[in-house]
Amino acid sequence: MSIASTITHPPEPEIHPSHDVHEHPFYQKHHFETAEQQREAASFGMWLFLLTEIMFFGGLFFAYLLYRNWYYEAFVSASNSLNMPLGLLNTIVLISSSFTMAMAVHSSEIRDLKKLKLFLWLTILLGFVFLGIKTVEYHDKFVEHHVPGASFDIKDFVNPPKGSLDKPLTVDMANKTQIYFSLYFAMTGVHALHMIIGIAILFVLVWKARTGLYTSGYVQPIENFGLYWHFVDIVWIFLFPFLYLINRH
Amino acid sequence: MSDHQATSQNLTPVDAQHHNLDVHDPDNVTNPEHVAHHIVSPAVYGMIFGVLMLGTLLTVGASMVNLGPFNAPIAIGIAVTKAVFVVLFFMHVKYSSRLVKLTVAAGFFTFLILVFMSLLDYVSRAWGQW
Repeated sequence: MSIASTITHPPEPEIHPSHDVHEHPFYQKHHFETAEQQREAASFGMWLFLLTEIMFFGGLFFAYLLYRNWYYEAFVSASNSLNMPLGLLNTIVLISSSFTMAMAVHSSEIRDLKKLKLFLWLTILLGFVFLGIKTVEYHDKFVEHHVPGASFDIKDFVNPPKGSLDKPLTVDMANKTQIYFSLYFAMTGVHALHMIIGIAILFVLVWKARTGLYTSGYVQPIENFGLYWHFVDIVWIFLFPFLYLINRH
Repeated sequence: MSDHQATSQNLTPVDAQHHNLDVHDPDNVTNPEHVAHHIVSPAVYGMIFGVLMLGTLLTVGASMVNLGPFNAPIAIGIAVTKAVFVVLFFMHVKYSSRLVKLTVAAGFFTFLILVFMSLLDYVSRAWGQW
């Protein structure tokens, strides 16, 4: 056979004998022996991705640990300037969204499309509530000139407002609150970015779920997204006490 | 011998005793990692949700009491406990294969090693003396 004819008429692909022999679910890819194996591989892969996320957030947490140790007074004063009730409310909202996401996975497992859609929408809603509250908090920080940079103002930390339990800081230490706020915006900002990405994926999942794609045994995409969403929840479980509750007594 | 040879016509490879040797046949996949799939019940999710809420209120409460050097370890302890509950139940690791369990544990362990070694560098330097 000439090369040209090989290109235009490639040999019949060798179909493995077992290929047509066994039945397999519609979502099972051909390179997997069983749906179980595919599911296992997907979970494994998702966890490997989440481990890289641990390292990513871990670097920020470590920077926080060192600077908090170094400039403890600045970190306490800056932390106490955050709106703790709003942070607590956001924690409750986010844990609730993790619960609704867990319920979405369950609905997919028991093949209940109505419930799946309900819980995915609830998760989206709670995600938006979280981001909305976060926006209010960010807005307050801008108004108070607590955003690191040219318009940062140390006056709240050098002369604490009346009724504040915080000790006045020296100018030098008060300037170090910018390090706290840099970490605050970096950590909560990256966390919020993860939520924005998550909400975008949730919309795709809701759209694709409408025909019953995820309620006919194909749980994997919902399950893996659940892993991602819960991971973002875990990051917040650490961020809340570390950023809001350094010293509230 | 040639009776049982796998060819493109004779589909299933078998040995002399007619045992199926086809590694692509799902019947022959005996991977111990393929644990029976477990569906976590809403009751369990509800209980974990309750535990997480309790932990959240507890960590706020603990931060308002002056416990001296113990405030930080307690906050970390509560956060770690909450995270473990999320990982085990919401993320199904308790019901997952040993491969997944090992992966998760190895990941967190590696992170702790990195923190530990970085801290060793931090505490062992002659700060301000170089």
